[in-house]
Formats: sequence, C-alpha cells, structure tokens
Amino acid sequence: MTHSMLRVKPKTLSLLLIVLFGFVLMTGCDLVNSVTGNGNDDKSSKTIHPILLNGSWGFISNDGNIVLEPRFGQARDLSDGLAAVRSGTLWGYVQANPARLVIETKFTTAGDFEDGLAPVQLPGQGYGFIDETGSFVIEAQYDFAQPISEGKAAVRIDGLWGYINADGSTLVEPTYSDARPFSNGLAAVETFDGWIYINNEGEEAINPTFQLSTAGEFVDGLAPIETADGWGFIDKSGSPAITPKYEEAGRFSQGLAWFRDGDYIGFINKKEDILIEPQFAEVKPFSENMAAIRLNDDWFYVNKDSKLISITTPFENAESFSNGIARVQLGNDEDIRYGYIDKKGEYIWYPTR
Amino acid sequence: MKRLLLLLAFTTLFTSCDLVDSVTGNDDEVVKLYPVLVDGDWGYINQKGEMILEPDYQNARPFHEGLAAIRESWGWKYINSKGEVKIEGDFNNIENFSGGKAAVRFDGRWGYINKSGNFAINPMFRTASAFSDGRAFVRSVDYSNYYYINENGDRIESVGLPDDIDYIEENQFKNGRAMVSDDDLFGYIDKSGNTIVDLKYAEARPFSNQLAAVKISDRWGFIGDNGEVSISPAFISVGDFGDGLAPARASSNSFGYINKSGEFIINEQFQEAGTFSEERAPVMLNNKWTFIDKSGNQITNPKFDEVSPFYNGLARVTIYVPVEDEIEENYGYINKSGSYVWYPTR
Repeated sequence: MTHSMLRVKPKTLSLLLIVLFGFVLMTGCDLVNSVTGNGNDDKSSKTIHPILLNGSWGFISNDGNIVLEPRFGQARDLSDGLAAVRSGTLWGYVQANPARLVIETKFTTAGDFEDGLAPVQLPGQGYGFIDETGSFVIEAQYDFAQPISEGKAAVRIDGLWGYINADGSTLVEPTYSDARPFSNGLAAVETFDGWIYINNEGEEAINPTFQLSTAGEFVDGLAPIETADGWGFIDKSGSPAITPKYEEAGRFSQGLAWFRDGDYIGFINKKEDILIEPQFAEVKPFSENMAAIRLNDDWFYVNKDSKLISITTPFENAESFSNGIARVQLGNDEDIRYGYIDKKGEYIWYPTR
Repeated sequence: MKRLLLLLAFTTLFTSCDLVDSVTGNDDEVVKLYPVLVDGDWGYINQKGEMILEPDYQNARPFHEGLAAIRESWGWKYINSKGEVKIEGDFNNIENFSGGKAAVRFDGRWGYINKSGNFAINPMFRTASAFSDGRAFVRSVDYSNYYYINENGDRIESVGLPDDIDYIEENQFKNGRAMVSDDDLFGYIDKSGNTIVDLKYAEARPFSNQLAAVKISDRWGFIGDNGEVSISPAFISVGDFGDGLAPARASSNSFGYINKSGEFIINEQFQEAGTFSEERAPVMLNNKWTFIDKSGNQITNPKFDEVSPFYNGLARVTIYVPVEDEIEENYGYINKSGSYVWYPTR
C-alpha cells in the first residue's frame, strides 16, 4: 500500500486505510456510471455510507436517511456497488439499492469489489476472487491478493508478488517483493534494485537510471517517486517531469499534488507552481474540489478554487468527499463518533457512535 | 531615555485604537457605541452615556468598521450595533476589523477573515497584525521570518532588505510607509517592499501626518516620506504628529507641541504628552492625565490615572480606586468638552 506516502498519526491510520480504499471506490463508481450512462442524481440515490449508531454499523443514503439498520460490527465504503460488512469475525457484502445483505458473512477477509470481482478469504484458506453473487470465479490459491484494477490484480505466492488477469490467467509470475495496482496502464513493482514499472503485458516499462526507493501510482500521466534527492514525479516515459527535491510528495488528484517542505505541506500543479503555500501539518488528496487538511490539532477542509479553508468546523479526523458528502470524526478514544457533512460543512448525519 | 520609552509605550496604545478608520477610509458604518464595565460584565453605551447593549459580555472591545469583538460563553465573536452576533467560530482569539479584514487565531494559527466570517487569508501565520494601507505584518508558520503580505495573502518581496527583519510592535503601514528594523537599525519601506529609507537610524518612529521621527546624532528630528530631513534634529524627545502637531521637548524636562515647521506652538510644560487624535491630546501634569485642545487648553483638571485617545468623539479614562490593599481600575468616558458621559465604574 501507499502508507509511506502519507504522514499519519497512528490513531488515524485505520481511517486513512479506509480513505485509500475509498479512492478505489470512487473510480469504480465513475466507471460504472460512465458505462451505464446514469445521471448524477441516480448515482447519488444508489450510494450508501456506513454509520455507527449505538455501537453497531449500518448505512445511510446520500441524503442522510437510514437505509440499513445498524447491526454490523464493522462496515466499509461502497465499492463497485457493494460494501463489505462484518458480523462477528466474518465478512460479507451489502448492496446499495435496495440496501440489503447480498453476500453472506462467511469470509475472514474481504477486499473491495472492482470490475465485479473482490478478493476474499474463507477461514483457513488462501485468497481467491468472488463475483457479485458470492461465487468463487478465481479459486483460493494466493497468500494475499489486492483488488482488481484496470482488469488486473496483484497477488502474492510464497512471499513474491505477481499479477493475474480478471479471468484468473497469470500475467506476471510471482517475481517481486512488493507490487502496487495498475493505473494509467502501468504498475509499480519492487525489485532488488529499487522500484520499476511494468506495463499491461507484464513487461518492464520504466527502469530509470536513478534508483527509485519509493514509487507511487500514476494519475493523469504522472507518478510520485522517491530518489536519493527527494521526492519528485516521473512521466510515463520514466523521465523526471518534476525534479525530485521535495521532502515528501503525494500523487496528483484533480490536477494538484501535495508536497512537504520542512514541517508543512502545500500543493503544486503539474507545472510545479505552488498553488497553495506549505501551511498544513497533514493533508488528504483533493476530491470533488475539496481536500481535508490538518492545521494543528484539528482537521478542516480547503476549497480548490479559492484555496481557502472553507469548512471551519474542527474535526478529530476528516475524510475525502464522495458524492458531495464526507465522513468526519468527532471525539477520540472511548468516544469516537462519525458523521457526514455536505460541502457547506453542514451535517447531513450528526456524529453518532 | 526612560521618559521617551514611557512616551513610546503610551503612543503604542494609541495606534492600536486610531489606525482603523483614519487609515482605511472605509465607508463602513461608524458605530458610536463604547464598551463599559458594570459589576464585572461589559456592555455598550452611546455618546450620551445611555446603556444600549446590556452588560452581559465577559469582554468587549470598541467597534471598528461596524463590528465589535466581544466574548461570551468563553467564545470570541463579532457583534453589530444591535448586539446581533454576526460572526462566530472556533476562534482562540480575534482582533479588530481593519480594511475589511480581521486577524483571528484559529487552531493555533493566525489568519484573516472577511466580514462574512469566511477566511480571506488562510490561518498560516504565527503572528498577524492588522491590515493598514492594504498590507499586514506576519510571521511565517515555521517561525523562520517576519514579512509583509498584500490583501491576497501573498508575500511582499522586499527589495534591499534582509530576509530576517526583526519583529517590531509598530509595524503598520502609514502614509504608504512602514518602519522596518534589522540589527537594531531602523529604516522605511514602501508598499512594494522597496527600501525608501535605508536602515541607518538607531531609533525611529512610524510615519504619521507624512512625517517620521528619527534620532540623528543624539537628537530627534523628522524626515519626510522620501527620507529627506524635514525638521532638523533639535529635540531631546518627540512623539508622533497628529492633527499637525507633535509632542516635543528641546531644552527642558517638559513637553510642548511643535508644528510641521518645528516651531513650538504649545510651550514645554507637560510631564508626559501624547499624540493628537480628534483634536485632543493626552498630557500629564503632577502624575495625572488630562487632555488639551490644539490651543493647549486643558479640557479638565489633570485627574485621570490612565487615558485612551479620543475615538469617535469620546475618550476612555481610568481612575485607580484603592480598595484595602489593592488598586482597582474604574473605567469611564469623557467627551471633547471634558465632561463625563459615563462616570468610572468597574
């Protein structure tokens, strides 16, 4: 995963992981609707979001009404039309509309659906992939498997990562010590000499003369990389499009990427212009024109157009916007509550626990 | 020297109060309401001394550009002349509006909000002074330096200045000039950041009425806004010009007032003397303060322990009242004739 690319307080790590999953989710939704030609309203009406109420997780609709009564021990964001939920120690999936459990809770781990497939694990077995009916279409045989991305998934066998196609056929034999999802037709993989990128055919596509100690996912043709000189960005030919010089940097999103200078984080565009001066202690990527940022103790949201903090309610943690709303956290330790706000900062679901 | 410091400290108090409307020329409503303390709570009176906003506030500051900073329920907010809360938020601290913006401290950082209560400049500073002439003096978030920003929050790149100029209290732009300091030497920059007067003075004051007091060879004189000596350095001590007059002493232990030609218009006679504002200047005689008009007439007997400059027609005065072993400060208001419109209370 991309944990090294984001600075997190330990207590926010689990939420961050949810956010990262959430990003995969958004792309999934976009794909689906661009294919089916569904309008935005229709899309919103088909979206559900996990809430915690009286100690159990349920789901609300995009306008804040409960659509699935809280009864789960844990619940994740919707991905490709399905959301993973946990009862006891086992995971299943709920669908959005009508909201109900469609794949029974029987898996010890359950990854996000993409392209109609999700990596799962039954008790005592390896990872395989199920379809939307819950049937295994790629049988359990892997130590670990990432969600499908661009029709391919990274899988691990005997400690080494390779890639499979969505039909289960092998694209790349287990070769690499680490592997990231495909994006823009390329996937970062770790070799003994640092990170390189492979293409859709599984062939080595980018192997720069300078060693990459970290390599992120491509977005709009640029990927964040770490070299001995710091963090920068390469293009799909492997050339440094933005010279490595930052102490840290994240992937582009909505045309902006965060970078860290000293203790403070700002945002650059693809021309390296500093659009937002370094001033934040921690940030999450822009989505739907908003980015969650931490000033000092608390999280707020900055608007991409004005570059100003436009949601000034202090949150203990704040996640990215999706379908016009964002999950926020109030309180901590024994009193963590989750709510949802709209882009005016008004609650559509007041934080509960 | 000690005397001058006292005077400087005193005039500092003034600038914080009179900088706003005179400098910005803002058309905003002038609210003629004044904070008063009654039994520990703050309210607002009008010019006649009538209570207009009941004393319910934990703290209350003067109105600027139509809004006043108050504290209630332990939170700082801005109210209008009707007492309606117009802006509230999770502010650690707030300052007065000037030039349509107010510095606020938010999650430990200083930024600027507009009158809608939205951020106009993100909270990305360690300190932030009030805007004047469209410029504000700030300290970078990483504490590394002090600099000026424009109304968009962009840094004004200084030409011919070191990157790490010193913090000075009186950093406001006035008459298009700001006093700057480095290595204990003072000079002046214009709004574009150009150094107009090199950093060469060991002591200096900000511009006021187009003149700035500077110390040349142990004596104080005044320079014009391009640095030319306008009033020759003949004075042991001086204050800032206001309404065309400046406190000064040349030969005695007492202050008088000089005009822009450097001639004494009011004779040297005061123990301390402050800047004219609204045609009244605070002066001290026998350790008590009063105000004089531009002819030097005292509008009351010297009887106040502390005074603030006239603002919108009234001046706040403070009387020390001994209560057992303590001294309590009682606050009142006088008008330009020297009459109480609000007898000191606490």
